[in-house]
Amino acid sequence: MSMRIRSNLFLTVGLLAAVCLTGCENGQSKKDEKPSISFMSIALSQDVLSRRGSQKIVSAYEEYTGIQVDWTWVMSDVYGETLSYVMRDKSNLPMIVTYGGELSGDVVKEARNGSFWDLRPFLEMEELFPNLSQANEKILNALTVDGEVIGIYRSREIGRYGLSYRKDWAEAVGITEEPQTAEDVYELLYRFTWNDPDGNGKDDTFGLEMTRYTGSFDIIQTWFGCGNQWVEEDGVLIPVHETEAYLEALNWLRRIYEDGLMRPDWPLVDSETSGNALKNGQAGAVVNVMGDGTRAWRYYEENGISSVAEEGENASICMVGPIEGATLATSGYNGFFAITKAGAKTEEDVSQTDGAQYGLNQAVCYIPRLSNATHPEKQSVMNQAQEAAYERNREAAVYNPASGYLPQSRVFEEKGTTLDAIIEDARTMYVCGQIDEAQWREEIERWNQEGGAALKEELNQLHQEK
Amino acid sequence: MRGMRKRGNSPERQEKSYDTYLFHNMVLWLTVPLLIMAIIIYSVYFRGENNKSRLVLQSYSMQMQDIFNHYLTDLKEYYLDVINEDSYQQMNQMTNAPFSDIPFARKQQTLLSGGRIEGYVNGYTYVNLRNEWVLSNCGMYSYEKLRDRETLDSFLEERKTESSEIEWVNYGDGMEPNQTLPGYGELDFSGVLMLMKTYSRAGELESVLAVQLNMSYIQQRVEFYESAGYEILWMNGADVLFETSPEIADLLQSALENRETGDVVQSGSYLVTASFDESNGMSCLFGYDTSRDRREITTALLLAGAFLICYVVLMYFLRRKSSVLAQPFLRMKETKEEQEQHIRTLFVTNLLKGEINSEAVREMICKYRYPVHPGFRMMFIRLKGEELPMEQVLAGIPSEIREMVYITPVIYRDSIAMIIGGDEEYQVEYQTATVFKAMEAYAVKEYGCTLLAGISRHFTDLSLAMQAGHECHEVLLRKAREETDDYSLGVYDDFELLRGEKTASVSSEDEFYEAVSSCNEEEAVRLLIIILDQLDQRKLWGEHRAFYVYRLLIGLLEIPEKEVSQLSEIFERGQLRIFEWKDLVVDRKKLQIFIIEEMIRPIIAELQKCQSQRDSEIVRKMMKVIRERGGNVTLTECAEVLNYHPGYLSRVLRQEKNVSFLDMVNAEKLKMAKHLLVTTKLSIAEVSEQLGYNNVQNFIRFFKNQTNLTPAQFRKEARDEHANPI
Repeated sequence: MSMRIRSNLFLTVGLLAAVCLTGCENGQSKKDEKPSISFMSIALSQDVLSRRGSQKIVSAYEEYTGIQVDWTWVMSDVYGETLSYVMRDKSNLPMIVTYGGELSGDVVKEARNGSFWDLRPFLEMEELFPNLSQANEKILNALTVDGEVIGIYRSREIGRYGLSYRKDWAEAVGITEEPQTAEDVYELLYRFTWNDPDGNGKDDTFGLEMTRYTGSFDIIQTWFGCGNQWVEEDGVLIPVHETEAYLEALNWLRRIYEDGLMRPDWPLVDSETSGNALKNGQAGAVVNVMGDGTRAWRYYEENGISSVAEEGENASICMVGPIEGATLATSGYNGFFAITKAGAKTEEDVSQTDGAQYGLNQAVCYIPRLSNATHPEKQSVMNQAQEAAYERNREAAVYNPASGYLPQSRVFEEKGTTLDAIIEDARTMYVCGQIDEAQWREEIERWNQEGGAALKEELNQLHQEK
Repeated sequence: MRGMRKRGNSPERQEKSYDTYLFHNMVLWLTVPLLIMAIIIYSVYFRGENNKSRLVLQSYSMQMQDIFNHYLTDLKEYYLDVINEDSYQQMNQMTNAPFSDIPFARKQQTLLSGGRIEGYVNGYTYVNLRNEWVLSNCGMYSYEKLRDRETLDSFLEERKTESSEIEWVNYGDGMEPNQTLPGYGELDFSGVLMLMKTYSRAGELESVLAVQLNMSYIQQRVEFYESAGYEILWMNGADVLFETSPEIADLLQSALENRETGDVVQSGSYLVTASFDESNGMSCLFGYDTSRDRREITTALLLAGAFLICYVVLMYFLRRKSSVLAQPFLRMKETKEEQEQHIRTLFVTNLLKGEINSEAVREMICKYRYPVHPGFRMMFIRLKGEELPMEQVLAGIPSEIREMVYITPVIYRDSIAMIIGGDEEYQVEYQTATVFKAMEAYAVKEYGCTLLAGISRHFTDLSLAMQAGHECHEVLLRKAREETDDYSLGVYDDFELLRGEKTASVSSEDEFYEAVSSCNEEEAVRLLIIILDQLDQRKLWGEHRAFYVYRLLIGLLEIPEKEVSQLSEIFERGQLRIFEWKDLVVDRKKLQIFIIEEMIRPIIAELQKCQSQRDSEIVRKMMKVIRERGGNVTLTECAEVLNYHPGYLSRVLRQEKNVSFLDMVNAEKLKMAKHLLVTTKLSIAEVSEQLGYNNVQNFIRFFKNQTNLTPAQFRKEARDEHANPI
């Protein structure tokens, strides 16, 4: 329940940003009457505007911003479909449309057709939009099509990824210091596997929890300095799998697998079970979103899972975050608000000089960055630990320098899935010891032949153009 | 005035109760049909609804059956395809779990997880029995790595006995609730499973594929029906695979024993139908809870009832309000009622007084719609021994008694007069008795005294009411005179029988005589009129009338005779003219004038005179003797008869009347002579003979001495006088 309310709150508060951008500005053109804007958004539950307190939020919001909002809430499962229909009907287009996820080829096409306003000029007006102008340049890059910023991103924690492990197990196997290096982590996983951390005398534990979702590998790879999908070397973008650091990381992972520090059938494990092993004491560490650690910890507390190291205590999680001073950055956003030219007809609708007095600074929660300041969960130990880990992760985050180019790439649009699958399968096989280094390199060559080379060329071209 | 006010109250009370009665009727007439209508609609609606429900249930059950069938067919077809794939066969042959060929295992997982029928299944477990390894959506293990070998063993043990290639079983909640997906080395055999077995050529069980059905997929598809109130039970043999409500599972099952597909039966509040799929061994049961509808309409009816109650309350409220507004009208009504009562009273009183003739009576009855009866009796009632204002008594008469009385009871001659009508004589009699009893009860209760009642004879015309009134009055008088407490009820008929025709109006006549003898001229005149009226009203003519008239006159003449010796002393010179009485019998006016002028007044005058100089007993006795002997008596003879000394008598006469005995004899003789001369046609000689004269000359001399007229002259003058009166 609290999660639900929270997500609702997130969503609503999140919307304030974009609304203010257009709405407040709109308000200036007709000073006397309350300006009205139309807004299409993703609903996570059927009763977005009928839940207890919803109307309070809306009215407080409207009072605060001086804008009347004509909401269109569409359920998330049909949102994509509905949006594609809506976009075709230019006459009834809402001023603001919400896009979920990351920038997709379809949106790029729409943007190239000139459906959206270029927000770059507005975001540069620091005086008018003190908050929005602080938008993260790296994230804005990802929303840039042909040099135009097409949306205000809904920011997401950049430092979500990192290592979490079971603290009481570590104590039980004699590790008291947080691991700093990949080697420390290996030691930790090894002991979790073979030193019977739960003390039941059975060989029934693994070091690292792993499912068929290989995001964990991407995170671990950054520990070895191989970047986030793409890496810029001497001004040239190259895919990470072509770096030596990548192979080094793979070798490390292969060692983990061969030493039995993760379950042997991991590529066959439903990714939905992620976190289960940590919760039910089958594995001692997870490299994924920090939330997996937080949830496991909360699970221990709620179910009274007792610590194996200290009697009378519940089990707990140590949230480390980066190893070797590095971790994977997220895209930094999850969805964005685009302002349609069909909905917001004139430039005046979008740009108004006095917008600042309507409190954009207060209303925006996504930019400069998501703030959890008012959340009650903040008070709990787990959330504090998570927040601290986020902090560390943000500083150590490794970004993808090509994130802005990929959606614009025609090669990626055509062959991206195939290309990703080649590397994904090869990596899995290599880690599981089914191919050797030579075969790995053969797979990379195949990747290049299948279109990888062309992709490199295109991205680099986009990179040069910028 | 008090009586009036009191009478004023009771109609108001009546008015109010009538008003309430009307109002209740109105409310009743409104609510009862509404209620009846509601009940009819309720039942009709239900019959219709039930039929409709049956049809809808049949149609829906087919639709739902289709959903299940499609689901099962798709599932079966897909997985039959899967197990016939080469790769599946290959998997059966693998001696070890294919850890060394992860892409192959992944491909198998993709196949097993549903592929084109995505969403149908939650998970799957492939068990290679021959080589002892397991592949599920959550991992791949050899038997040694299983954490819970027993679950698998017991599962396989159970399944080995079944020889069919496809089975459907429900294992219920196998997993712990907080652990949605199995961990490493764990297997999930919970929920509804489709089992597919493969056998080696030798007929040995090679592998078992357990596909966990996604019941929420089914749930979503039948959600509409469920939300519309339909219950579903999907069974495989005796195994429940899917149910919307465990509570009614038994009900559905028991309702459909020995039934064919498509039958609709009623079980409790449920309508149930089923379809049986023999080939799969599946049965689907569908139920619809009709009490849902009932609840709805019951709620509606309750609402309607509440509305009705509100309405009635509102009506009462309005009524209370409106009664204030209606007060002037009510008062008018009251006044009208009073007036009507007044008219009734007046009418009855006039009937009693005989002031309206039968024509007018008929008009009145017509006009005021009084009932018409062929026979009546009159009853006069007085309270015995109590001096109470009769008005008060009358006003207090209970309404049930009033209703029995014709038109209305009135007060007449210090009595409460009641006319009682009826169709038959005996009815009238009975009714009269009833009224009397009721009145007596009322009197005893209210005033603690008994009644005196006089009842008239049966009469047939209301114009005879006066006569009846007299009869009643007479009875009352007689009763009062008898002064016996034994009989408080007197009926005129009784006197009639005792006395025959003669005493038609004894009581009035007696009163009349009394009035005359007590010198009350006024009262006498009043009574006389009544008596004469009675005569008129009784329609007595000819000899009958003459009889009564003569009796009255004679009775009248008897009064002074008791007091005074000679009638001739009062009626000088042939005043009485008895021979002409015949004319008087016919002419009422003349009779009345005659009686008043020439009889009552002289008699009263004489009586008054007598009373003023009343003779002593002795004188009267003497005069009586003289009158009896016709004057032919001496003082000595007289003294002998009266046993007195003659000298004493003479002295008394001288003292009291200053006359001698002879004077008195002469005066008596003269009176008789005059009387005979006027009233008879006897000759002077015959008159002198009758008066005891031996010599007619002596009589003439005597007459002349006394009157200065000869007898012949006297007779002549008297006759002339009569022939030309004044």
